[in-house]
Parts: sequence; structure tokens; C-alpha cells
Amino acid sequence: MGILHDTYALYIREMLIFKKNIRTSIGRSLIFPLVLILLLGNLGSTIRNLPAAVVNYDNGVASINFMNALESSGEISITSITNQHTALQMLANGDVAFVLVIPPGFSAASASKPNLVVYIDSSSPIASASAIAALEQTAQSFGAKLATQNIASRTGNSQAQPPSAASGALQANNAPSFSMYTNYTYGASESYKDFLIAGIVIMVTAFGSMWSGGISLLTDRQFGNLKTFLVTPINRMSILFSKMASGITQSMISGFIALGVGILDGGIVAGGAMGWIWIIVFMFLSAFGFSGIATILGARINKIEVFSLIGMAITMPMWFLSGAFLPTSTLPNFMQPFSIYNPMTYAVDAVRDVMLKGFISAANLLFYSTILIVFGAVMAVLSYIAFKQTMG
Amino acid sequence: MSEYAIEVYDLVKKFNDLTAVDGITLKISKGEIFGLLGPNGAGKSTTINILLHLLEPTSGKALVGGYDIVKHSREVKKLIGLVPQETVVEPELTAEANLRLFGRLYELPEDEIERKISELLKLAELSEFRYKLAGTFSGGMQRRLAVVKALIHDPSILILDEPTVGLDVQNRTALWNLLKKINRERGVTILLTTQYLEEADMLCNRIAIIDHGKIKALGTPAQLKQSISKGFIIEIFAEQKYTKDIIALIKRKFRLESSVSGDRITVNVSEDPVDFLGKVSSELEKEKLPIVSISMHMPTLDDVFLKITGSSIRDTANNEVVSPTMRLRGR
Repeated sequence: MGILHDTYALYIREMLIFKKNIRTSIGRSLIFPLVLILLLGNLGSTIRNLPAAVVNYDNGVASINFMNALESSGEISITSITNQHTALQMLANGDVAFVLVIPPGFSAASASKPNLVVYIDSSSPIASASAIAALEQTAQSFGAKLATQNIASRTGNSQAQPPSAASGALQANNAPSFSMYTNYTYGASESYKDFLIAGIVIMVTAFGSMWSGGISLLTDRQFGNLKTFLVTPINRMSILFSKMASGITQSMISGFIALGVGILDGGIVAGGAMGWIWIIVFMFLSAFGFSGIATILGARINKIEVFSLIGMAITMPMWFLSGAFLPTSTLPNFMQPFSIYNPMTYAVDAVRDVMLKGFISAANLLFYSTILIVFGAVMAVLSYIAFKQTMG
Repeated sequence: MSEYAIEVYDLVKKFNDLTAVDGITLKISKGEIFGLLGPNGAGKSTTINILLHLLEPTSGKALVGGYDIVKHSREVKKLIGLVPQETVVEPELTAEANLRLFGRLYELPEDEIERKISELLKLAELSEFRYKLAGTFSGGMQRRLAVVKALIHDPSILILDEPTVGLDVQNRTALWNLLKKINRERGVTILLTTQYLEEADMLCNRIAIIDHGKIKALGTPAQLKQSISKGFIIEIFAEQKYTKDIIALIKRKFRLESSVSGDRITVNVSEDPVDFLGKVSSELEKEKLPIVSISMHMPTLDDVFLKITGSSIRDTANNEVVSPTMRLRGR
């Protein structure tokens, strides 16, 4: 009875309202993961049908095989051009991402192969990096060495013929070919998408917490519903607790939807059953802390616009500094301390460890969870104070 | 237990420099329908919020059912049902869920909640809308639901803050009837605030006229009206430059005192000699004093209000925004 009973009654009310608006709520919690995981996660990781022009001066069997091999991955789509000048014109126009010149004598059965020449438009870094990777791989398998020429600016002297290209292409390449082997020691996957999913799940969970509990406290104050609760003989704190509890529940649902989207899109949880438990624990801890922030704002702010503004100003930097999108080591030096003091960093790290490495060391587990519990406790106390001041 | 439902002694509430409630004393008997009548900002809602312990009184004392509102606010809350000004129902919950929520907040047993829901929905004539969302209800239906929601814990006192603001005539009458029925059949004491004179007149056993945080007059509607005039009131509208002469004429010819407010002259007539109105108008005509209009009526609460506060409640209430939601948005 008492405070638990009152909290439960108000919690049921919140959840009934949530259920009434289930379609909007689910829709809202789908948009972020869909956009971020499906688009951002799949963006840049691989390329498809990158247009390329090939000027084949050789026309031998090996050169045809080379072109087929290049196209076979589906990454590159080749157009054959007989004239180098036309091909470079196409590159200048942006019709193709790179031009490959296969020199005469490529198919000759000599021990050494002449240089292939590639002109590449580097204005699209992701596309050019992928193109170079694909070319190098194919070239290696044919024992050919690649010479690349960047044309950085399309408006520049794109017509300029590389002076050494013609002569360089005829030079014999005596360098030995080699292969590189990649061993993934821990990570179950090296793809950016899998890296991103952990960040998005935590981000969506925190986001949901910020918006469900806090906004509902604000609107209850605004529309007078809060007054009808305050005139009943309930313990006033049960209002705060019910907002936090319903906020956590709703944001955990959003977080699971995000995780579901990620897994349907090919994400993995390497940690297995234990991994799932740890994911739930860390989702809960981050939702808890943010529901505290949300109720502080909801108890203090009178306008929904101001709430959104301040909410964004708090959450946005925290997401970006948490390494949800890119590793924190890519942050500039002056920003890195912020990510160290950002509790979300640890939630993202923990979930990422579980999802990609498949395990989380006891020391890290203790460290991460302690930070998040302290964060949550501090926010809960602050929201208790804020609530007490406004609601008496 | 006290013989009074509500007792207020010298209640003061200050907000910084503003004194919203300035020494109010009143006693409301059990079973009464008591109206606090006054324009916006008169201190009606503040008084109610203090009774509900939503605000701390600056000084003074108030008892509800014999309990001190500050020391025993929990007991007081069990005795009171509130229908707030903003007509709060939970629009995204069904009528049933609305009542169930408050049944639980008052910690009633589940089977009793079940019983009360049927009983109260019947009382509000909403039984057939039990499983409909309250947000789909008309304004009048929502208001009735809000009223019965405040009755879920069988309070002995029902407090309503501006219960009929924004309702049309039919819904207003229906709500008055509902309140009368609750008062009559359940013996619930009703305290309401209003700025509608006809509402106070129709519904209330006793009225306190409140302005600038003070009670200016207290009594039954009939007593208040009689305090103005035992007979009739003549109201003359004339251009302001003539009002002085008209007052002088009435004093000279009929030995009657008049009062003036802007372009309006009111004359209290204790008895009605035949064709008194005709005599006044012919005298005015003789003296070539032009008037805009002249009328005679029984004293109304508006006359009482005018005499007490110096301005008509309609003048002061004119800035009132009709829809309560508009006011909320403006906050």
C-alpha cells in the first residue's frame, strides 16, 4: 500500500495512455533506428554499381578477365571506352568515379606485368577508397601493380594528361606481389553497421526516456491533471516515481525496437544469452539516468518548446561524445575529456562490447555499471529536489 | 465533528506584493450550496486552493469537517472532491478508466471501485459511454464526468471552480440539475466559485460576494437583493453631461436618492406607485433632459454587485476568455 500502490495506479494510467497512442509511439521509436541503422549503418560500408570507365589498349584474354574480375563483386560497373581522352572527359563530368587504363602488352605472357593506370575522382572519399581497395585486390590477383593519379578538382585542369602516365604504364613492374591477411582477434564483425547498432540502441533508449516521462509531467502540469492528483491523499512522490517508471518502460520498448531493427538488418549479439541480459541491464541504467534528467526538466519547465530545446541541447552532445556514431578516439583532443565524463560513453561501450566482442570483463562491468548507477542516483536525487520545490 | 463543513478564519494569502486573499472569514454549514461570486482575480480560486492545501496560507486558519487544513491535509483531502476549473478528465482514457484511476488514488478496494463506477456513470447519465474515450466526449459530458469523478470516494464536500465556464445553456442547466441532485440526494455540501450571477442566483443557498480578496457581502440571494432595494430599481441611461441634472430632478420631484456610474443612473424605489416609470419619463421630457433609455426591474444580483464593487461584474468579466483551453495555451 501507500506510495507503491499510488505509484502503481499512476503507472497504469501512463501505460494506458501509452497504449492508446501505441501507433505513434512505435512509429516514433522506429524512425530513428530505421534511418540510422538502415541508412547510416549500410552507408559507406560497401559500394554498389560504382560507375567506371575502362580504356583497354590490350584487348587480350588477361585484360578481359581482369575486367570481369573487377566487375564480379558487384561493386563496380564498367563501361568500355576506346579512347583515353573521352574517358577522362567522362571523369571530369562526373559520369564515372574512376578511369582505368589497361596498357598494351598486359596479356603478354611475360613474367612481369606493365603498370595499370587509374585516374580517380577523390571528391567522394568513401567511393574512391572502396574503388581503390577493389582495384588493388583485383590487381594483386593478376600480379599487376597499380599507379593511381588523383584528380582532386573537377574544375581544375582535369584535361591535363598525366605526363608520366604513358611512359609509366609501359614500365615493367618487377616488384613482387603480396597479400595481406586480416585476423579479427576480438570483434565478431568489422562492419560499421554492427559498430553503430550498439550506439543507436543506447541513444534511442535515452531519447525515449527523455521524451516520455518528462513531457507527460510537463503536460500534466500545464493542463491541470497534476492538480487533480495532488488533491487526492496520495504521497506526492508517487507522481514522480510513476513518471520515471513509465518513462523507463517506454524507452526500453523503444530500445528493443531499435535492437530488433538492427538485428533484422544483420546485426549480431555475440554475447549470447548472457549478452542479452547485460544489454537489458545497461539499457535500463541509461534509461534510468535520463528519466531523471527528464523529470527535472518536466518539473521546472512550463513550455514544451523550451523542454525540447533544452532536451536536445543536453542529449545531442552527449550522443556524439559517447562514441555512438564514431569511436571516441576520433574526437579532437579538447573534446575527449568530455566523452570521458559522459556517462553514455560507458553504456555504449558496454553494449558494444557485448554485441561485438561477445564478452565484457568483470572489471569493466563493475566500472561501467558503477558510473551509470551513480549517474542515475544523482539524477534521481536532483529530480526529487526539483519536484519537491515545484509541487511542494 | 464540527457543525460546519468549512470554517475559514481571517485567511490571508500574499504572493510577493499582491494580496490575493485579504482576511476572509466564512462558515459554510453542512448540506449548503455555497457560492463564491466575484470577477477574475478576486481571490476565489486562491481561497479554494488553500482549502485543498495546494497553497500554504500566509496567515489565518481554515477547518474542513473540523480538521485543520494544514495539520491534517490528508484527512481533509478525503473529505473533499474537487472539480477544477480546467475540466480535467483524462482524454486518452475511457470514462471507466478515468474513474478507476481516481478510485485507486483514493485507495478504495477494487470491488468497491467497480460498484462506484457503475453508480456514478449512471448519475452522470454516461452509462452507455463507459468504454468510450473521454476525449471524444462533448464539453458538457466531460464536465459531468469530471463532477462524478470527484465523487468516487464519497466526499462530504464537493468543491467546483467555475463549473460552467464555456458551457452552452443546455449543458449548463443539466449541470446545475446534476449538482442540485448530488446535494439533495447525497447530502453533499457544495462550494462553488462563479462569475455568473444567474448561476449563483439559481443554484446557491448562500452567496459571498468577493472582490480584491475581501468578502463584500454575504447572504442568501434574496437577502442580498433586498439589501439593495425592497421594491424596484429604475435604471436610466443618459449622456454623461445630463446625468447631474437628471439626478437633481429625481431628488426634487420624487424625493429619491440616485447613484451614478458612468452613463448609468440607478434609482431605488421602495414601493411602486402606479405608473411611476411613466411619471419619471414625462418629468424628464418636461425638463427637456434627453435620455437614451429608461427601465424598471426587480433588483438582481448584478445590482448588488454594482452597488458593492462600484462596477458591473459584466464589465470586469468582459476580458474573460470563453474557452478554458485558450487560457491554458496563453500561459
